[in-house]
Amino acid sequence: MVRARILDVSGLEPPQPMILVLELLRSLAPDEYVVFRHRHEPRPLYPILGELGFAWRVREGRAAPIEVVIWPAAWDRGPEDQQDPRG
Amino acid sequence: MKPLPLALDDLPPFRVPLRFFLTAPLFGVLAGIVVIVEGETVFASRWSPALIGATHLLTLGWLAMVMIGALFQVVPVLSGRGIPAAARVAAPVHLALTLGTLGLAYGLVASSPNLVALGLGGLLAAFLLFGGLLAWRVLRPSRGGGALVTIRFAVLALFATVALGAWMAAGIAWPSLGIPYRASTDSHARFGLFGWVLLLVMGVSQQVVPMFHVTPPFPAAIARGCGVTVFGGLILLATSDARLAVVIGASATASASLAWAIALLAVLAKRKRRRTDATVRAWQLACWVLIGTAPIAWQIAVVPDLPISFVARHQQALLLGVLVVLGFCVTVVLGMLQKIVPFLAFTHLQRRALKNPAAIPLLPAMEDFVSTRTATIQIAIHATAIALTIAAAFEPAVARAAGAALCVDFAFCAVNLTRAALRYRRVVASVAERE
Amino acid sequence: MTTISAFMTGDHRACDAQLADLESHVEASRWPQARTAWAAFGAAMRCHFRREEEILFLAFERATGGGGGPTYVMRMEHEQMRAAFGQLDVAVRAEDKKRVLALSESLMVLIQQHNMKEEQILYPMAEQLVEDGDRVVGEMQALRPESS
Repeated sequence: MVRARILDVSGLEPPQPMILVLELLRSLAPDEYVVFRHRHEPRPLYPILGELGFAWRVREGRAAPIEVVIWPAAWDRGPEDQQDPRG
Repeated sequence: MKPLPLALDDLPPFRVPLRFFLTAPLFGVLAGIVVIVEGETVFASRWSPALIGATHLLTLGWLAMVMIGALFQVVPVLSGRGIPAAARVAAPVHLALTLGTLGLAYGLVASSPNLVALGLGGLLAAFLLFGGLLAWRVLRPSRGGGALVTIRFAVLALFATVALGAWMAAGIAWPSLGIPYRASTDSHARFGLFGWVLLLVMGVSQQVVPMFHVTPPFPAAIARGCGVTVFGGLILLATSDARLAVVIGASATASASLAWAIALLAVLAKRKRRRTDATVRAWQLACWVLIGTAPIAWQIAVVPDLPISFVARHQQALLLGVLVVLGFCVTVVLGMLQKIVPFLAFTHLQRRALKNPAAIPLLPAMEDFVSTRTATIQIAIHATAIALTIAAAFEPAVARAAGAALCVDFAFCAVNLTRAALRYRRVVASVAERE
Repeated sequence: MTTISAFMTGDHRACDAQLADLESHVEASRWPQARTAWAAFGAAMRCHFRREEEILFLAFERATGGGGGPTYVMRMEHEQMRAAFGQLDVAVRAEDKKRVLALSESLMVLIQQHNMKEEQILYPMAEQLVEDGDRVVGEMQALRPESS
């Protein structure tokens, strides 16, 4: 059962949000994903997420203006991304 | 039981586990040949060099070979992340394990310290390389259900087995060191068979049996408790000779083994899928062997001089070894292999064909790689081989017949798996042509 | 009110049991019962797929702010299973025992791999991220297998 780790940085000044979310992502167990609550879209974070192997979606937040849902990209790896079985 | 999140898409290429699966039965055939060549002397005593050599052909060449191949497959799935560089490491691990096993086994049979030393080198290389990668993945802290906890104990038991085995092999390879290696034999065997193999089987079975045979889940207490109890018992037995420690340790290990075997039989009896299935037969055979074995193991450890024992004392360890190694461990692995190879062939082909949906109807089904009939015959041959080898433990005159049965058993397996692999290659080629 | 995970996992187990039923009847060559079981299994699976594709996946995509991702993969696997249903249908009609059992074994593997991803990842995420989970479950419950 996967579980959400919630991180609310809507009251924090830069660069705290970035530091905290990267720290959280590093300590993430294989069965966890992140709901990242922010005042605005953390655009500089997105390329880093891609590089770290995470996928994400942005939604209008309930508890904060923006929520970024971040999960391991392996969770939605499609068959077309498979390695060649012959290697 | 709460299964772990499984990232089933993180599959390594088929060739990674396949090379292990195709080599393993050849070692089984070699074990049979050793028994045929050496004949009656194999079962003369538990210390007979041919017996120890043949045993290691089975434990290293068959069990460790298949289990390491399967772990390359299973660990990424269980832990949600791939084994680093799995594809690159598989070939050297496989080579080192193959050469190491050949060296050690031949060195033991021929009583050649130099060959034992060579074998030791190869095996240490294989286990350090693979064990390092595995431990990094499996022992990493993460929340996990009963399965992952049990598998962690299995890996710890593997370390203990390899460490003790290396210590003993060093004693044989360099006699001048004066290592009292025989004293560690029981601990080495217990950690290897009841620790590594049994614990791994306990962990894996609670995941795969409910899923693929549509059974109720394992009772939660069994799923969580058996692994810890077995491991605790083994530690107690290995670290203390005190009477109380032996009684508690042996009782813990034996009762948890019994509880797991009975629970698995009960779970299987309630399976919704009633169709004939060779893997179910293999599970049932292994459970019954374990139910028969646990009390014998307990008796040998706790009351070795039981006057009413139906087995002469010098035969007790022999019988126990045959039951655990051939009757339980080899059976479980053989049964799962009948499913794993067709399963992986099928899954890899399905993935490939998704790029080209028109090809899906042309793909073989799992049964086309190893049919239920073939797999059922395999388990029947294996049951015969077990029976003959048990007979040989009592009556060495049967030894050559047992050796021949082992050869047939593993040769049949080798032929069927090779045919499955060749069929897979043909289909991959024909799908590629269509693209 | 039952949760998304509990309801949909129950749906999976019910479908598994129906496929097991089909296999038992086919192995015993009870073809009339096998045809009934096949129809029931097909209806249950189609209903399950509609519950997901028309209700749950849409709610999940709304809740995460976009399509693609896990639901995209799940939809693709549904297509893969639909192709397998087509093959099985031909084999059941032809009363080809060997072929039905071979195809159902493979289908069971596809289903179990797919279910595991949904039960471990998609359903829990949906439960945690979709706000009106009760309404979603209610809608899914209201969708029944078409009777055959």
